Amino acid sequence: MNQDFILGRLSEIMGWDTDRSRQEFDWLRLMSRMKYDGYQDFLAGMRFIESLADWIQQFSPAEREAAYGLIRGSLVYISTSEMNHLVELFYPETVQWRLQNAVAARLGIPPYRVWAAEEPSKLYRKLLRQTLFVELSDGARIDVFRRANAGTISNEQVVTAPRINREKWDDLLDDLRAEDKSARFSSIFLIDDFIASGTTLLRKEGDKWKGKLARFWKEVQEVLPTHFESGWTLNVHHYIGTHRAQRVVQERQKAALTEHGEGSWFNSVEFSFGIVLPEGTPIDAGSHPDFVALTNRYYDDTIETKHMKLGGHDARLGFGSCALPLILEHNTPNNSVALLWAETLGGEDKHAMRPLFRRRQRHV
Amino acid sequence: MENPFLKRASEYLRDDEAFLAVVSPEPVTFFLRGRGQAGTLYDRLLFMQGTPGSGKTTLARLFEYPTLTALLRNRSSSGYQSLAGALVECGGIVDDRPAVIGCRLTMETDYRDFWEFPYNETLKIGLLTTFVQARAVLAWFRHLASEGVSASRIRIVPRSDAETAVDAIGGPDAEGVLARAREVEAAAYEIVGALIAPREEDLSPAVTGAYRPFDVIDRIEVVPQNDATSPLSLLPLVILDDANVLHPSQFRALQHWLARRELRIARWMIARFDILLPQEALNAVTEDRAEADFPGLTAGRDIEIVLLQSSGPRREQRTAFRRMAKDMAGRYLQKHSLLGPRRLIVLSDLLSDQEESISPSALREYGEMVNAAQRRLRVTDSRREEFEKEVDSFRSGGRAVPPDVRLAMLMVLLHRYDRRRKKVATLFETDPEPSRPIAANSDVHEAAKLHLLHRYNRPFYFGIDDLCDSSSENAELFLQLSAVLVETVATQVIRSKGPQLSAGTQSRLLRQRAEWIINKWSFPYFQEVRQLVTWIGKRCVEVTQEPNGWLTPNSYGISQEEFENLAKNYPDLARVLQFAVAYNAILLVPNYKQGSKIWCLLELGGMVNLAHGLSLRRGGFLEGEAEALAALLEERPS
Repeated sequence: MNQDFILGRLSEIMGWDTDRSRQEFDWLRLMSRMKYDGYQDFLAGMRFIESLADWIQQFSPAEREAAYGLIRGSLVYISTSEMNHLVELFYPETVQWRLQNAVAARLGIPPYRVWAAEEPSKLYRKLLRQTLFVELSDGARIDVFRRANAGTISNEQVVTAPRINREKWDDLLDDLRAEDKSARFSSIFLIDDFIASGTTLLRKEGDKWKGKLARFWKEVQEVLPTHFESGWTLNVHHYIGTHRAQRVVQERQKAALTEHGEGSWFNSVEFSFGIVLPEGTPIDAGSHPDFVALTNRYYDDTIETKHMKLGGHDARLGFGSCALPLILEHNTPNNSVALLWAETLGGEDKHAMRPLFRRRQRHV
Repeated sequence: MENPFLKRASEYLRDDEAFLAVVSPEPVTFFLRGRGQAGTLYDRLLFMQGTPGSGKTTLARLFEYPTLTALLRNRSSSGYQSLAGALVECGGIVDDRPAVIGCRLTMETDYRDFWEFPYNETLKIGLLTTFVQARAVLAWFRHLASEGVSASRIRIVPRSDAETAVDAIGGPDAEGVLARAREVEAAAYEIVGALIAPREEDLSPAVTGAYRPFDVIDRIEVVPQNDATSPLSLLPLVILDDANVLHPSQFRALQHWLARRELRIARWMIARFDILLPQEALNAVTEDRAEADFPGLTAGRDIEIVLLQSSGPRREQRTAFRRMAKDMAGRYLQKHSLLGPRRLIVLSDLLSDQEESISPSALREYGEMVNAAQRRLRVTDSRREEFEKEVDSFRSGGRAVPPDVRLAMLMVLLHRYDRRRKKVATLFETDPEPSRPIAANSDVHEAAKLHLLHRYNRPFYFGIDDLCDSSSENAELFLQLSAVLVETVATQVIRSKGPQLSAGTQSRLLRQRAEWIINKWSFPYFQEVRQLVTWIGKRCVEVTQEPNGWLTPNSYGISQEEFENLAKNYPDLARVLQFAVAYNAILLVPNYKQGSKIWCLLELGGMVNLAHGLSLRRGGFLEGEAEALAALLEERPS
């Protein structure tokens, strides 16, 4: 669609005068070109500005400024290049530093001395080879991770499925032992793109611990004595995490360990994040009173599937009431405010929700 | 929608055709035609000075060989004909063929690095000149190769008295000259690119030996591929752009070296004012001639100085700039993705010159103020009627003035009358005659409009001429100001409104933009410059608002004698003033005669005038002293 035409329409819908239109057109052109047009789930023939014009029309004229204000002032959009950058930073900023410290601890030297002599450097290379990188979902961008670290991390160290069967474990060990007959794995990095509430990673349902971490604990039991060194370490890395998730996962890990006892749960899990969204990122009635009012007025609870209900509340502020104004280029997280992504048919006095960034549902 | 007005710097236009499409012939004609016809463009060192955005690089790039050939390729196109004509007048094109082969070497790259090496000054300068010569020779060959001319078809014509030196530059055949230039450039680059400076005794003979192609080469000839055409004889031209980034000693040595009279090649140096000493820089814009430091070198005879900013014949320059700016705006509008296809390509048509009056309620209020002033000043009704008739007979642009301006002019006349009449009326004289006649003229008109601007925010800056005049004769400033207007025109078109901007919109946008530009200043001493112009600007506003409108100043005058000793008596002020001039915050108007005194006016730049709401007309100034400005700078800039 002709962008200038739709900008003119948007100006009418918003009731902007010429000055405001000029300023907003500048911003909209820039942001759509630099970022928002790259969103992968726009409909054919529609890009950001068309989608925005369509989205904003669902609100009454008096409410539109509040809706636009959220997009203009608070939306956090992570583009592919930004996400790839976080992937590229994972090894030098997290993996290398962890292993360097591990080498320093084993040899009793300060970390900065690791590169100064042959022995610690050799041990670093050995520990690096004894490390496995396992993706927890297809958001882990494991292809980008591989390319970014070609020549540093072997393909045989990277596992592209969160569930690993016995045969695969044996293959991984065989590959490791091609160089050193007695070697075992010394650390694992579980990788995922995004964590908001921590529920998917680790949660307690009734008296049972569930989630990806609990599942991984079960699966790894079989091979722990044979494939891993004693004192091996588990690291969980997310490229993006919320402030809340950073706190919650630590608390849940601690609780799970206390409940299970040593030997029946991971003794320690190191959590790391490429970037942590600041504490003030989620919206609330204090920071965005008008927009929160919209989320109440324009909510259709038919979006609440059984998976959404795991979050514990209704979904108007997103899964787990995370209230995030966050969009990831490949898909909008369900932890984001529902008005941004939800699409419903409405009816029975319920508002038909129109998405700005249509979300591809993984759980139907 | 791309707004081409936001991309000013010619370096951003990589493609020659795209570059030529936005270049106006006016500055070529204005600055270079006379010199081209007199022959001084090519027979001596041409030193082009100007503020950022004054068009230095644009002029230089026009004379680069690929640009000239691109222009000749497209000369049948109407958009290029005027430009080709201007280059013919400057001797860049002769008989529809290029007459010069220009190469532009930007000094921004690695040339300055030589100065950081621990060698003696002579060696450092020698390395620099060798590097420059090698790169110029390579650039000439590269430009010819880009036009499909191989080295085998090139003939280097040496100076008649330098034939024996031909061997030293790899001659006599062109392949040898090219190979030698490559060898010298590689050797020089090894030094400049070295992490640690090589020892002096380890330097390659390729860079320390005799290599002086500028001393040897007279012409470069291109042998035609068939006998149908005659050989193309080209005058080599080297353009050292952004020479201000060199170390001052390098700059002066290079200038001295290039100013030697025996050189046959044409050579241009282009720099901002930053490189000069304060007094030199100030002299440069007041005398249009810089004194040389080296014995035997006379600026004027050995150096041709082209000053790309307001100085000298100011009325002529303003007219020329208006022509150029309008032409340039048309070219840019043609490239605007929204306005170009709609043929909205005449900027003056998009900027309304219809005055906008103050609101009816404000007009009523102002009318009462005039009545009150009449009563307070004890002016008789008959005297007022006389003034009203005077105002009614005044014409601005052939038109009677609108009611609000009429009232404001009347207000000015009442106050002028009050000043000029006898202060004590006698018993029999209630309506004394003024000492001088009270006339409603263009000064009163200007003062009245400025009063309305400051009191009621009545639009003052509108129409294409105001836009041009507020740009300080600087192309980049013109484009920066125009950009916001053009963007607003485009927004109106998108919103299905008429494209023309009202006077109110223009005036408001221009003033906002000027404030934004001033706030974004980041050149050396910008805080002191801002402090200086703000102080002058505020004082000018105070005087502008005086009710009798006796002066609408936008300048601060110090005596010419004081100005000439500025660097000696007030070195800090001179340095700040140098950068104020170099970055268009202030324009110098030297030797301005007023009464029995000769003044040097520090005229506020267009952005400052817009931001403070001052007249764009020239000549009005506050009399002052340098000492006051120097004392001001001793205060901490805010």
